[in-house]
Amino acid sequence: MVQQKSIELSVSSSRQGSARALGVASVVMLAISLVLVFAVAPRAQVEAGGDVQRIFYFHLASALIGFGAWIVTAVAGIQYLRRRDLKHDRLALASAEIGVVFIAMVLLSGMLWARPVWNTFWTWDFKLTLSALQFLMYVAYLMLRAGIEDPNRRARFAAVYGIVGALTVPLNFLVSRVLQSVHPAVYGPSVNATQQGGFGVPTEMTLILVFCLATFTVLYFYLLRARIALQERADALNARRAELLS
Amino acid sequence: MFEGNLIYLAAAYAVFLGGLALYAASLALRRRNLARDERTLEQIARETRDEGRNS
Repeated sequence: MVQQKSIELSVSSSRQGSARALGVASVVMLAISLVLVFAVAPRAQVEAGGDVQRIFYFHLASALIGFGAWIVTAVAGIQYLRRRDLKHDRLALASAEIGVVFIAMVLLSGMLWARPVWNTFWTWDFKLTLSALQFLMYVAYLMLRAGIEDPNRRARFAAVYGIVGALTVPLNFLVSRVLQSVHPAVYGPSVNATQQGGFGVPTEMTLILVFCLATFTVLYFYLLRARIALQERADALNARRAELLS
Repeated sequence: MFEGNLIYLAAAYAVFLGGLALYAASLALRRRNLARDERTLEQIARETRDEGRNS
């Protein structure tokens, strides 16, 4: 009994230690990213907004992490449906919520970049509209979860919703490459001739983008761990409450 | 053309840093509320146990 307690304590303290290490790494990497973006990155051409183009580094990194988070939600949903273990549901919830935060930042920063380059905060372009709809879809996912009491029923519905929702993610990446869209496709092949504000990406910009992406990945894992830990405590509390009431 | 537009760059980075800070603060707040609920529940459990023992 005493030995089990000491094992539990050492596991808990090692978990706390690695969470703290992730937190410190996130903050340090975020600070370095800001220095790289503002002091090292070259100024882009005027068509992309000149200095305003520096939004690109965090904008694209947030988009990749946000959409990636919703893919994780779908994979966790599949795992839940296969194993019926609520730990997968907790992962799905945590990842969806973080995805909503990152995509909200993408939408807002995109609007702020669009104003000087496109001369408008918003246009009902297919890619922009799709991104806004996807954001609302995942807000609805969180609301749906909050409206279902039974944990297993909630996890089942959320898993199916999360899987269907993630099917729209690849569409967002294809839109500005295969359709005519005002949103530029900076990387990869594109047949989009109506894009505005596109720019060439020298190696220096790509390296800084990769560093920002690494930063946001570490940040994602830090937030994911914190959110899962919070949900574990909330679930344990609900179970204890149900036990007391019965 | 874009020289006067640095305000948009500053606003965008305020969105990124502010968004992350707000989410981190919301996690901390929820953790604090959860700890308070846990304490309340433990108190109720203790009182229920004591009442059962006294009756």
